[in-house]
Amino acid sequence: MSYDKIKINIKEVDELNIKSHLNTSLEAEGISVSEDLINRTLEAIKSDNDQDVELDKAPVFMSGRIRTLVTVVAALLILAVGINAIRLNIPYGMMLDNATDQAKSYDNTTAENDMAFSEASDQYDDSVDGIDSYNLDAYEFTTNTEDAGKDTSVKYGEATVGALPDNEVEDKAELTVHGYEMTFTEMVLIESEAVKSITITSILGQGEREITGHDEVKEFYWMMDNYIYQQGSGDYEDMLYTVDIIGASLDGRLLIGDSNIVVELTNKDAVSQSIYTASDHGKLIEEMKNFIND
Amino acid sequence: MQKDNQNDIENSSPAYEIEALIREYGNDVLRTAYMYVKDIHTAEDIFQEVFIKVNKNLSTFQGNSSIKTWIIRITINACKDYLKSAYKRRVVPMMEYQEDAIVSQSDFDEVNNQDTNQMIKDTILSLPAKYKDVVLCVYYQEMTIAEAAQALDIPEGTAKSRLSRARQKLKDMLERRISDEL
Repeated sequence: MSYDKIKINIKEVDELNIKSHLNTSLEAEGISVSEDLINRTLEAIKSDNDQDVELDKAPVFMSGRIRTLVTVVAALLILAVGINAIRLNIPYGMMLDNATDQAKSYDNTTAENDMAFSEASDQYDDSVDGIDSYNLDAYEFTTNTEDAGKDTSVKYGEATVGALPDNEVEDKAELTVHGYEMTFTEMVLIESEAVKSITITSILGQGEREITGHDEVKEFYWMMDNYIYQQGSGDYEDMLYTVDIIGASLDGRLLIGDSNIVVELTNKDAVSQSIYTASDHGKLIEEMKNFIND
Repeated sequence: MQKDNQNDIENSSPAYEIEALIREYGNDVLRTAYMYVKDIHTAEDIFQEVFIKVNKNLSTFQGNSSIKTWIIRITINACKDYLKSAYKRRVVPMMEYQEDAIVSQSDFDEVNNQDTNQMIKDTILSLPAKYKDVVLCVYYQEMTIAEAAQALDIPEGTAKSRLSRARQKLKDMLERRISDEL
């Protein structure tokens, strides 16, 4: 081949037809893709794909297990946090529900005790006798009773305190917590001034006494306030005395048994029940007997 | 109908696509690789490596350039990676050897015995790498300046100026060789 032709074409490199020259040269050297190379490449690609699948499978398996574990742990944590949150800050409505359930469970009580809640808490807008304010959050109450003239404390613990109105309370009372101990007034939530009548009845037929006078009521409260009451547990037991307290808007019934006192508070058709023990229960029963006979 | 559907599935399968790409662009890849590494076995290894990468990343190819530009870009990068690793292993790159060899008397004698194709090929391959890159992309791979710039990951203006200088160098080198031949 004459180099003169090249000389002419050098003026414009692209006119050298570089691609053609290169391909011709490379083909002459045998630089071309063979079927064997294609097949080897496809094999290598397939092998690479298989490796990728194997590598992908294990992490997917592991991550799936880990995801499940994480989900379960997260659910348990949420459940635990939720339960604690409910325990610490149970809504008022939920306490009403508990009271309803508890009321329904006492199937061995008299018909008049078998009351159930049918309305939500916001329906109870009547005032509580002798109680000015209270806070149901975390079951903690601060009470300042006028009779005692001192700060006393009460904690309801797991007691159901349904049927307590959240407005229009009359007297100035502030509920405070000091453990689970409380006075009689704090237990029944009815101040002596708001009491219309109290009827003490001996179940064993030892008599009955109804008091309506303010002095008699104060005397009864003074007697009952000599004891410290604590949140108790258990169920209804054989009753010795019943104490029916009729208040301005809140009624209370005490069912005094051998070892505990069941307090039922009624506000219209809403009822709450709690069980307490007195600091000296035997002496209290003795005083109840004497009070009836006075 | 069912047979047609089956054919469609087969035609759209990745295995079919990669084989089609190998058959269509295989020579471009192998020859480009060879022109960089100047060893057929190494070029074949790079050929396999390139199509494995193409197969892996085919689903992510966004079509911002032609598929050929994309594949050649992978090829050039694979070759440069190989040459870099070869340099690290203290292996004298063939390109440098070629450049050094070209200036020797014996190589000029050898060039004089080659035909035009071989001479042009050797001259191109003896260009400095940055000029050879752009010459191969534009003239051998028939890319536009923009495509070459994309394949080489350089600005378009740089590609254009390099091509201009490459043409001048190629012209000078060929003229020198021809004059020596004559």
